[in-house]
Amino acid sequence: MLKLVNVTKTYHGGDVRTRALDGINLQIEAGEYLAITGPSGCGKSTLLAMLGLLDTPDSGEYWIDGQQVSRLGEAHLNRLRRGRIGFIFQNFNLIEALSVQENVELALQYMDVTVAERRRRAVAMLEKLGVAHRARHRPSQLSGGQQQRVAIARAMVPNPAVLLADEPTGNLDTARGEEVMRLLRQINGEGTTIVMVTHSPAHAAQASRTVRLLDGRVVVDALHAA
Amino acid sequence: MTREDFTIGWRTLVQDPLYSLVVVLGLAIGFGTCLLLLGFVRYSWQYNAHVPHVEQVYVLKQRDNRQPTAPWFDQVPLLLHATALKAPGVDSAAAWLPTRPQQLTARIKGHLYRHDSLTVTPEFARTLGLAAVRGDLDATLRLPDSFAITEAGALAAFGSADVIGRTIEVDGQSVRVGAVVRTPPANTTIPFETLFGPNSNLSPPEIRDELVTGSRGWWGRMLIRVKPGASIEAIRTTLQEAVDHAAVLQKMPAVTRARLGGRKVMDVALVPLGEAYFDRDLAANNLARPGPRGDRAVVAGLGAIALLILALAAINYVNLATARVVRRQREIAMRKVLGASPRQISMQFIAEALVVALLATGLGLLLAWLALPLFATLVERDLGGMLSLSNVGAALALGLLLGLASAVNPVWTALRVAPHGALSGRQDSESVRAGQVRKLMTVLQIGAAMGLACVTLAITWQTRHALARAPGFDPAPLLIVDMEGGTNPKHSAAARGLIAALKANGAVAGVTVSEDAVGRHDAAWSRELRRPGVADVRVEMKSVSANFFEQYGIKPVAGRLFDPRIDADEATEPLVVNAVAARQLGFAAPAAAIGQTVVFTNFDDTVVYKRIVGVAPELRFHSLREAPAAIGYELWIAGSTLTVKAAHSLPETEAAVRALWPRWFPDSVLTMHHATDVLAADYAEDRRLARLMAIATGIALAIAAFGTYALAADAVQGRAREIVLRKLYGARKRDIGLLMLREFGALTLAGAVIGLPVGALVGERYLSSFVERAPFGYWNVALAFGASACMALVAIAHHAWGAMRMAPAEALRG
Repeated sequence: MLKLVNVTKTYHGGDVRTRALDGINLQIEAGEYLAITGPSGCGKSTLLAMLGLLDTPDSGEYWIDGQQVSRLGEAHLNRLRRGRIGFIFQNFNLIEALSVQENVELALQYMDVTVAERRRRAVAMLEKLGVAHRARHRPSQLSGGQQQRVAIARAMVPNPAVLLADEPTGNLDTARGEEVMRLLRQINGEGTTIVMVTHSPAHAAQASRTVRLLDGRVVVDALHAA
Repeated sequence: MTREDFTIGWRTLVQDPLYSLVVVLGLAIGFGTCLLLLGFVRYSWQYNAHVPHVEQVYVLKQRDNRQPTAPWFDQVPLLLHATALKAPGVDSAAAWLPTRPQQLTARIKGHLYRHDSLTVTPEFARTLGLAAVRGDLDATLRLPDSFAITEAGALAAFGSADVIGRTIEVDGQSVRVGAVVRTPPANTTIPFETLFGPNSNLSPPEIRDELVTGSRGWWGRMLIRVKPGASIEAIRTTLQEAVDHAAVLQKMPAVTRARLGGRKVMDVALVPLGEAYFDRDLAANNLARPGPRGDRAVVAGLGAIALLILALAAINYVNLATARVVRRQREIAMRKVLGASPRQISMQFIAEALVVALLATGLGLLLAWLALPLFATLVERDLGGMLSLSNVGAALALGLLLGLASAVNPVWTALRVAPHGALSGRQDSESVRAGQVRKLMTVLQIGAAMGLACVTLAITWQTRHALARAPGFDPAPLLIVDMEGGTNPKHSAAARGLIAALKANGAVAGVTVSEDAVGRHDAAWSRELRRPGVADVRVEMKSVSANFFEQYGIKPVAGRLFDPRIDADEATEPLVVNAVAARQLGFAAPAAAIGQTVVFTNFDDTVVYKRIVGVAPELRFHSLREAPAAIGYELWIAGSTLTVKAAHSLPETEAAVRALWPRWFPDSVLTMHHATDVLAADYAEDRRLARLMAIATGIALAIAAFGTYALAADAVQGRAREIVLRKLYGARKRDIGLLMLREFGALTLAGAVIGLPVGALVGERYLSSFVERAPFGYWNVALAFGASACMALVAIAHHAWGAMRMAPAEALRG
C-alpha cells in the first residue's frame, strides 16, 4: 500500500549539501509491522517524514494505495494525511495548553466530526489505553509512559490505516518502553500498518520486518521468522 | 474561526500570566493614549456637527478693507440679513448679536448668573435646527419679555430643567423663560445658554431696529442655510453686491477712500459652518471675540501621533507574539501533522491576536475613562461626551482591526513552520529574516520616540522662551479687571466710584485705565499717521489714562511719557509712540521724534493733530509670532479695562477688589485676571500642544524601552553559546558588554537616522510661525538623541549584565 520508488532527498544548509535519502526503494503492505534501524544520520527520520507526507522527495516516486503523491502540494498532502496516517514521537509532542482529553480530540478537530462525537471517541480511546482517569490533567502532570499512551491515543483516535512511530520508547525507561511496545503490537494486531524507527534491536525484533539504512540507502530488508 | 480557537487563545494567555499582563497592559496603554488623542481630534473635527445637515449651513464673514490691516471678521453688516432672506438658493438666514458684549449677567434670587447670551432673529432656530424640549421657541423669540434657555443653562441657573415661567432680572428688568432647548455640545462655535428675540426689552431700541432693518450699517453675526444644489458663489455675489451698493457703508474719510484704491469696502465670503472651527484668520472687536479656533495641521498631526503610538504599542505585541510562536513551533508542527490546513493554523493565531486586542481595547477604554478628566483639564476642552456609544463602538472596531493587523507576522511565522524540522528539534529558533524584521520594528520604535522627543523639545523650548520673554514691564504685581458691557470711567459714575475706592485702599498702589490689557487683542484698532514727506504709517493705537506708564513702571526711551501731573486724561494732542513707529515715521533716532507733529483723518473727515511727546520702550502687545508693530498711545479714559497695581501682595489686592466690586457693580460678575496670565494666554495653544506632545513622547519612549528590553532578552538568549565561547577564548565582562552596546548602539543610530530628520523638519515647521525664536539651534535634536540613547542603555542594561555574568558551564549544559 505504501511504495517508494527510487526516492532521493537532499538537504541544503548554506554551502553544504546532505543527501539524506539516496535512491530508496521500499514497499510496505497493509497490516505490516516494519522497523527501520540504522546509525544516527542515516536518514531514518527523513524516511519516516517522507512516508508520513511531511516532506516530498526531490526525485523518485511515492505511491499510497495506487496514488502518486510525490508531486502534490501542501494542502493536498494535508488532506491525504488527515485521519489516514497517525504519528507518535520520542518526545510525545503533546500540547501543554490543552488537557489530555483535548489533546486526543485535537486529532479529530480538523476532520468533519461533531464536537459530541469527538468527545465520545476521545474518551473511548483514553479508556482503551488506560489513561481516562487523567483526562482533565495537563500533559506535564503525567508520567512519561502516560504521556506516550496519550500520544498513541491521539494518533489512533481517527482510526488511521498507518501509524508512524519515531523512536517511541526513546524517552522511557525499560518497563514503560515495554508497555508501549505491547500497545503497538496490539494496534498492529487490529490491522493497522506500523512503521517504527528505533535504535533498539530488541524492539526492532518485535516487528515483522526490519529495514536497515546506511548513508541514506537500504542495506538490509529482512522479514522476521514468524 | 471556531470557538476552540478563541478558547485556546484565552487559555494561552491565562497559562502565562506575566506575559499576558505585559502584552495586554502595554497594548492597553497604547490604546488608551490613542483613544484620548483621537477623541480630542474627533472633538476638534466635529465642531458644529450637531447642526442638522450642517453641510448646508454657512457662516458669513467679511474683510474690512477700510481698516489698514484689512482684517477678516465673522461679523457682517446686519443689512445683509434682509438680502439673504430674499436671495435665490437660501432656505433661511439668521442674524444675531451678543445680548451684551461678551457675556450677559442676570440676577436669579440673589445670585448672579453670567453666561453666553444671544439676541437672535426668528430664523435662528430653523437655520441651526434648534427645537424646544419644553415650551414654544418661536413664540418665545417673538415676545419682548421672554427668553429661551438651554437644559444645562436651566440647571445652572435654577437647579432644574423644568423652568417654564421662571424669571431672571437683567439691569432691573424681569424676563421669563418661555422655552427650553437642548444644550449644544461644547464643540460649537456658537455657544449660548440663553436666547432673546429681536423684540426683547433687554435690547436698546436702536439694536432692535438694526436687527430688523440694518439701516445703520452695524455689524452682527450671520448664518445662512442653503437649499440643496444652490450655488454658493451666486449667493455670495448677491450679498457682495448688497454691500457694494449700501450707501451707509460707503461713508468714510477721503484718505481711507484713497487708500482703498479700486478695492471694495468689504469682501464678503461664506465659510461652511463645519469648517468654522479651523477658520483662524479672524479678528476680534468690542462686539465679540471669534472664540477658540483650531489649527487643522496641528489636529491632523495629533491624529497621526495617536495612530503612531498605537502602532508602536502594536509592534511590541507583534514582536512578543512572534517570539512566542517560535517557542510554540512543536505545537504548530503537531497541528499540521494532525491535518490542520494553513487556513486553520492562521485562524488560530488570528483568534489569539483578537483575544489580546479586544482585552487591550477594553482595558484601554477603562484607562481612557479614568484619565479623561485630567486629560480634559490639560487640553482645556470639555471632552465629557468623548466616550459616547458611537466612539466606544469605533474603538472596538479599531481594536478588531489592530488584532487582525497584529496577527499578520505571527501567522506568517506559524505558516512557515516545517513540521519535520520542528518536531525533530532542528528548528527551534526564529529564521534570520524574522529576526531582522523584529530588529527593524524596534528601530522604528526608537526612531519614532526620538522624532517625537525632538518635536516636543522644540515646542516646549520655544513656548518657555516666549513665556519668559520680558514684556517690557513687570506684570507680577498687576491685576486686570474688566468692566462689563463697555462700562468705562468717562461715562459711568460707578466705574469712577470703584476706581476712587480702589485708590483709597491700602492694598492698592494705583489704578490705570486702558482700552485693553497688554497682551490681549480684543480691541485692536489702527490709525494712519501722516508726516510731510513720509508715506502714511499704519500705527496700532492704544488708548490709555495719563497714569498708565507710571503704574506699569515704564520709563521713556526719549522725551517723556504720559504724566498725570502734566496731562489731562482726555487731552487730545499728546501722543507717545514706540521706536518702531518713530522709525517708520521717518525719524532717524527716537529723540528726533520728540515735539514733532503727526496728522490723521478721523472717520468724520476731521483732521486731528497729534504732537509726539515721547518714545516708549517695546511692550509685548503681540506674541512672538508677529513682528513688533508701530504702536501709538493716546489719552482716553473710555476704556473698560482697569489695571490694579498691588501695594504689597497680590492676594491682598485681589481680596480688596473682590470686596469693593459688589458695592459698585452689584449686578455684575467680577472678571479679574493676573497680568501674567493675560500675557500667557497668547501661548495657551502652544502650552496645550507641548503638554500633549510630552505625554505622547513619554509613552513612545516607554514603549520603545520595552521593545528594546525584549529584543535584548532575545539577543542574549540567541547568542548564549556565542557569548560562552567568547569567554572560553578569553573575553572579559567588558568585552561582552561592548558586544551588546555595539549591537544596540547600531540600532539606536539607525533609529536616529530615521527619526531625527523627520523630528527636526516638523520642529522647524512649528518654529517657522514665530518671528522671534528661542536660541537653541539644534539642541533639541541632540537632546532627543541623548534621551533615546539613555533609554536604550537602561533597557539593555539588565540583560547585558546577565550576559556579562553568564557562567559558561551552565550555558553549555542548557
